Amino acid sequence: MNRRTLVTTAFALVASLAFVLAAINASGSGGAASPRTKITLVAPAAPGGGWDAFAREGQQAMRINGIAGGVQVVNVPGASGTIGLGQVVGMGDRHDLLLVTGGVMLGGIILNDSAVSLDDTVPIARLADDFNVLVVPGDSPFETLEDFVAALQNDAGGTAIAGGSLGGIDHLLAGMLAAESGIDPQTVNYIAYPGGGEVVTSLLSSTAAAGLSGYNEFRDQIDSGNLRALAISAHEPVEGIDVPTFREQGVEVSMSNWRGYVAPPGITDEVYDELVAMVTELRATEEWTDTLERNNWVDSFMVGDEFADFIRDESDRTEAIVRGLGL
Amino acid sequence: MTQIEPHTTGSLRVQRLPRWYTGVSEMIIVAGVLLLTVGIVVGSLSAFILIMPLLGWLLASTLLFWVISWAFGSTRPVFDVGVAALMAALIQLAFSAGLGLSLPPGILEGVFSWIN
Repeated sequence: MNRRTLVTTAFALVASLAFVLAAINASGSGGAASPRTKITLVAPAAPGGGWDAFAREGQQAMRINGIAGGVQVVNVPGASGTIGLGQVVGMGDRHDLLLVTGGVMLGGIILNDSAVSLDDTVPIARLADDFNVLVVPGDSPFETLEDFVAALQNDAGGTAIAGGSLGGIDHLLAGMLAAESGIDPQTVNYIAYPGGGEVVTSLLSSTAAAGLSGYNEFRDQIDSGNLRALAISAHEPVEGIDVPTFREQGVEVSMSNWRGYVAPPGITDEVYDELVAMVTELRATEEWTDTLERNNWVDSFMVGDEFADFIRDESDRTEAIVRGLGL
Repeated sequence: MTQIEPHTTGSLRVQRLPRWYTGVSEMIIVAGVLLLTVGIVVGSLSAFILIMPLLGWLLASTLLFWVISWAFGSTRPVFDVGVAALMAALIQLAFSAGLGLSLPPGILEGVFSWIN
């Protein structure tokens, strides 16, 4: 065998091998309509917030465990998430999208008179619950929830409460707290900020007397003593968080900030099954367990019809609260 | 008239210059060959766009690369098939492994389902 034949044979072998491998690869790629290939998680909030963290933690766990070929997070901030919701609903039958949603969006839809609602999406799964805390500055005269409620009753207008966007969990909590304390919710001086970071700033600069936001937003400041946590919005005490609930202190207020995923309205049954399977796999990963622990999120996994029913109930409940509070 | 060597210009092979050959007509021949080459390239690209959804990336682009190398004047069709197949295969694998994107599989979809 001369040199030329040898080179030719080697080339033919390499080319055939590459071709066969590529053909097997093409055969397995199973068409373009699977969310496994590439998925986009839409976080309807600015980077740094709760929904963004939720999406990015999910992205990380999906990527490490190969749940999808490519995972990217897109932020669509604004109007309590309803801008992102509108965009996703407008995507129609896109099979490679999941929208992060949660309790905050329900209030946002009602308060913003949003043209689209979660009824226009396909619920996939609820993954985690987060709780909000009522905090006061470290040097505040309010030592307990009781002190604060007394101050609120005396001078609702002068006892400003800082929190997240209008219609969000924080806003509803402030209204519920007022109603429970026997004050007209509309007299509450609620100052809305885009996120927990701004709430901390307004507390430390004494702009507001108290603040409401997710526990994680305040955790560092609570640990360092700059803020004092008076109550947490959980129904039952949360393991790992050393803050008494509102209910434990005799105020019947509880509300969880749940988070989950919904898909665009036009997806096929196959895509739906695949998305549910992917989120179920995500929840079972070690990384996700670690995420829950690190953020003090409570696993509240729920899929399919159960989740759809849950959204409907929560939606009605939120609407009742918003109307009841006259917001 | 001096003997002119047979020479190759693209897909047209001019073996022997015609009797009516003048310096000027050579221009016309070269222009014609160029136009023909451009025509073949444009035609095969259009055909590629049409058959890509059916055949899939791997087969359609192998065919495209092969036809274009011929249009550009290659005289080794068997070798060209090898190069075309190798290129198409490497691009397919690079997209899949490097970018996590799958190119359209076309008729190859599910052919090797017993391996996948």
